[in-house]
Amino acid sequence: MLKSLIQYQFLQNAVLSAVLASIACGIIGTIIIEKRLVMMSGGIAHTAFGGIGLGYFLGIEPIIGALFITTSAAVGIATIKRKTTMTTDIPIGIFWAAGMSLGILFIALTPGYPPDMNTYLFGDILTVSRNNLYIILTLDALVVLAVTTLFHPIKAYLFDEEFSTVIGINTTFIEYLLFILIALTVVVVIHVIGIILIMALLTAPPAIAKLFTNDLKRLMLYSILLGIFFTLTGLWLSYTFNIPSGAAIALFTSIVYGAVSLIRAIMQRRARHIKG
Amino acid sequence: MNENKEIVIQVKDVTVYYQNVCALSNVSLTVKDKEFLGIIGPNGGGKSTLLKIILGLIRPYSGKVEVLGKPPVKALGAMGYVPQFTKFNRDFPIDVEDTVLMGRMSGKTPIFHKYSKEDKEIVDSLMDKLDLYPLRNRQIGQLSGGQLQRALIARALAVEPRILLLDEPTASLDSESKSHIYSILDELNKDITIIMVTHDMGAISSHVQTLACLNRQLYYHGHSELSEDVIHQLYGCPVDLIAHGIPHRVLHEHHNRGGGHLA
Repeated sequence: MLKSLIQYQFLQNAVLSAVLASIACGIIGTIIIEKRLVMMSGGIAHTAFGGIGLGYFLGIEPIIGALFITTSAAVGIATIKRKTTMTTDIPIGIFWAAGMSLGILFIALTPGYPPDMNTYLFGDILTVSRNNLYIILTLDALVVLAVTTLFHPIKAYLFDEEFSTVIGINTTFIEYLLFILIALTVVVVIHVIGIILIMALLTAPPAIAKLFTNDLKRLMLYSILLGIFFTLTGLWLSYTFNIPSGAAIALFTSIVYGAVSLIRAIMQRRARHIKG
Repeated sequence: MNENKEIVIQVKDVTVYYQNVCALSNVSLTVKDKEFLGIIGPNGGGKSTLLKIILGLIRPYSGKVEVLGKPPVKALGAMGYVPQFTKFNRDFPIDVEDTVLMGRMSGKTPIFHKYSKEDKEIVDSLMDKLDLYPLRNRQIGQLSGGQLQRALIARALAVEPRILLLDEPTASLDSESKSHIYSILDELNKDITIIMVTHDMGAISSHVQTLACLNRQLYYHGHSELSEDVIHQLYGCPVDLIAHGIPHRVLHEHHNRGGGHLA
């Protein structure tokens, strides 16, 4: 594979996009796990499908459509979360279904042969084009830049929203910002692993990293490294055995997560046994 | 005894609704400089809501709140807040030192924020004062309830507030941790105003100067010294207002040592 890597641009693009996706996912995944936003991120991710459909319908780059729709959905969900005291599960579920339906509707309305949507649903890292890569790179830079410039206020917001508000941090702004960053991350990851499989790459790396550190910054860093390991191994598996890349990455990630959890459970039981 | 002191908090005719449920109705209250006010009342009686109104976290439906003569959101930095520690995400990846440092980030939403040497010195001395220094690198989930509570008090004090607001600071703590917290508060009260929501009737008689009895409306507000007059007024409150139907505990706490603690 190494030889082909030097030879073929599509493989270089694949490796680069895997690394970039892992960076965004490591940072944002840590945030959504700590703020318990996993469901919400799932909702935002699935609205991307509507955006892809809109892109085809309007004849623009589908990723740009996804960017527009996910960002709008993120702002919408953040507003609902802020304005109502009811549980946000319901509006998220509706966003989720409505987003997917819009995608299917737009595709049906688009004249000509329907495009293959599997790439967007399940990812196909080997089809990432140079243009896609530039978009991914820009969005990734935005995520990294936003989180590094506002690291302390973000950390304060994640840990204790009320206290942060009391000391004068603009928590409304931070919240909207983070939701938009989730939307950007979703768009970054679409090609790599697909809308439906995104959650694996967002949640598993920080969940595993959490076993090794109690520091937010390190948690993000370890998550990034784990994400790179998962995506590149998945890419290799996909290339070598000719299996779909998104599934390869998501399955490998899940298997490692399962194994790590199992080992941890056994170790804890043993520790208790020794102590008791 | 506080007659000539400056008024630091003024709550006037405040009414709060959650959806259609009235949480506070026409509550008026003044707090003077260096007062130690205890707020008691049944669960759902609006105690935490009153704190949040004063902190500016909730806006009243009607009425007015002033902190140091300004609306609460303009008085940021004047108030230190110690939330209910039992409601915390104890899993969060943060250690004691970083938790306390958070209090130094007051004002605005700083870009490329870094804590200064002065911030670190203030935090070091606070951790020292509250016996947290040896625990400074511990993740907060690895602290006992009392230790976490002290860390949250230290964080609120890092703001260098004039008013400290605490929401049930001794809930679910053992008696030793409780008395530790109270001795800290008594010491702090020499310099700053303290407002504390509590269910701990023992504290009312021995630490708190003034008392507010809250069940949607303010039933009583005045000295916590248990004179005939106060007793009479406390009995004017609905019975369950006084600590889960044990009204006599308020009056006889000192005869009751070792008799277990109220929830």
